[in-house]
Amino acid sequence: KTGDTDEPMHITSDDQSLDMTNSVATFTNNVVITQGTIKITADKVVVTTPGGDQEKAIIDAYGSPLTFYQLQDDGLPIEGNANHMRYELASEKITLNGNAYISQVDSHVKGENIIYLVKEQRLEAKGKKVTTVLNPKQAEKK
Amino acid sequence: MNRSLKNKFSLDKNTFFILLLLLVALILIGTLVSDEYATTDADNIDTKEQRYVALNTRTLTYGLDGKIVHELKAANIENFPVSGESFITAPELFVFNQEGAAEWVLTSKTATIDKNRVLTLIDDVEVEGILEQSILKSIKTSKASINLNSQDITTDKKVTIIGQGFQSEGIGLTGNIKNQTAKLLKEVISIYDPRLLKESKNNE
Repeated sequence: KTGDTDEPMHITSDDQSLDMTNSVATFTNNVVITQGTIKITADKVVVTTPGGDQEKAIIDAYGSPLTFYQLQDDGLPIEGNANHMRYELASEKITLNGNAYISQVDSHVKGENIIYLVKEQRLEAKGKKVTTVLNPKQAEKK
Repeated sequence: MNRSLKNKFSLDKNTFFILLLLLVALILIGTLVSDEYATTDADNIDTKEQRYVALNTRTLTYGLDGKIVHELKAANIENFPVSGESFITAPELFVFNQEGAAEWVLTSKTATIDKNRVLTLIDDVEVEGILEQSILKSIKTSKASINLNSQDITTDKKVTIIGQGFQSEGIGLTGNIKNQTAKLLKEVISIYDPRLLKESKNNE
């Protein structure tokens, strides 16, 4: 939902390592990230903060697969999964890589990598094999 | 003659009792005073051993390269040379980086150092990052051990880590102060909040 990215981000996990010299925090085992209506579950999450600036933090999540969920302004959920996800806080952009899949109600997008602009709640599927299936009913509504 | 002797003796008996009472009083005062100075942790140490007490101390430790590694300030250090244990009140341990700048300060209510140079900080333990650029501001817990040789830090207690724009809590921690690494071992909850960062920037 709009405003999700201004919310604090909560990360729970079994353990967490902090490498202060390189400003890297690694969360492993049962990692759950929540931020507003966004929810990501993964096996491992690495938060890198270039120069220690949290506003430019880059979150790399890995899972088999990892899952992504967000409630959109229209009240409909958008869900996805992939092997790897990169969430760049500064640009509010999520990139799903490896068996990337995002679905919203009946339409879904599959591809090698999918870019999702969290603030605008807009999808850009990239990659060799992209199948976009729009449910006819969904298509009429659009 | 006997009576005078008796009188003297009876007088002596009174003085004898007074002296006895005086002696008992002195012993009582003596035990009270030593209790007051002995710290609680000293109770379980064999007090037959000789001990040295240093007040308002400042101890500097240098590496083989001549560079300062630690500085330990304390209100009171009780050292038992035979067992090699020391009991410290209000310790402040400054840890220096390669450039010779104090990078961390570790404080607690009390602490002990054993003969293997393991410093155990007890009650209100805080590890504070002094340098501006450090992303980690402080680590707080109730008890932690630091190996002064390797600078490894460990605890099995609840830990709160406060950093630039984030805060983490967990149970148990292992880490190394020199390498600036810390691992929370169980039940970790972290909060990244860009607004925390903005607030901390506005407060500067």
